[in-house]
Amino acid sequence: MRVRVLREARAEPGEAGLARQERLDDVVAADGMPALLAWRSPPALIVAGRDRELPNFAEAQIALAMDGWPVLVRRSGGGACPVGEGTLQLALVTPAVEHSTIDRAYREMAGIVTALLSTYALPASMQRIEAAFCPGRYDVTVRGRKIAGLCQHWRRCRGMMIVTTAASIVVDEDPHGLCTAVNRFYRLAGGTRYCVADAVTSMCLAQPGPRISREALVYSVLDRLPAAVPVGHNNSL
Amino acid sequence: MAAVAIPAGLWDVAKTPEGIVANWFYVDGSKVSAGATIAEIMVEKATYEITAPQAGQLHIVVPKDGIVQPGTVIARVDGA
Repeated sequence: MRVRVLREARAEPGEAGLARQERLDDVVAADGMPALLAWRSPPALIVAGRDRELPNFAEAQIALAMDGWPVLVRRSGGGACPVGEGTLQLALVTPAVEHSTIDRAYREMAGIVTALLSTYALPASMQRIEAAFCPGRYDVTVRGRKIAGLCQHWRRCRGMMIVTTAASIVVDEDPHGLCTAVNRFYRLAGGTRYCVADAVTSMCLAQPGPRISREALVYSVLDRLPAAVPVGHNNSL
Repeated sequence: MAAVAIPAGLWDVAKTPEGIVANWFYVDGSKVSAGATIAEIMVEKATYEITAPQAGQLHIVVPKDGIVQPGTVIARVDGA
């Protein structure tokens, strides 16, 4: 699979990152070449469409924004996903073919994430961690703690089905801060979801050896990303 | 009348037995255009947009939050 890799190193507002991700549908549908986008944003809570149906969603959105956690809505499923400058958002956008399935697309992205983590000597596997935020069967874990969450969206574009599989990797963020934001959102919005910090880890926390700065680690991950894709070539945005 | 069905084999039911109809974007009885996105299903944190196979009147079979599997007919479109 030939994949174009697009990396945006600067943190940009979450709305811009999501919009850039969604615009890739049209780009991929136009020429048929899959794309892998990497981006990050200042703190935000990226929720799924179903979360908008919570009874006090609007009030929660206002309160979280005042706390410095703007609430954005994504197209894919799942629950609230906290992001920040220490998390890296990946989006693998591909045309669906005859053998495409939801499970296959998840395994494809999980393979990229686990290959990436292996270059840091992090033993990763797919596992659902119920106590983590936005739990799912195809989430990536290290030593029993969630380190990356995956979700997916299928949409018809230019007459073909386009599959976007997204991953949010916790590179260097405090799990307590991430979970506090998620739990506050659901409490205010009238939801019942709850997560615990011990169910989540980061590359910084899990990685052996001396600690490096967040920016250095993020840039290191972006630098290694193309090699984690089975076949690809690189373009920077 | 054309059936609106979840694609066969879309997901592995041995791993995830069921999905749900997350949204209907038209009410029962609406006129829809061929190719219009009429519904969305959700399974294992994945959303999948369902489009109308032909223009006509929509007859919903599985309501919002109803359980679905690959192959489930969720609606029919009456092209008459």
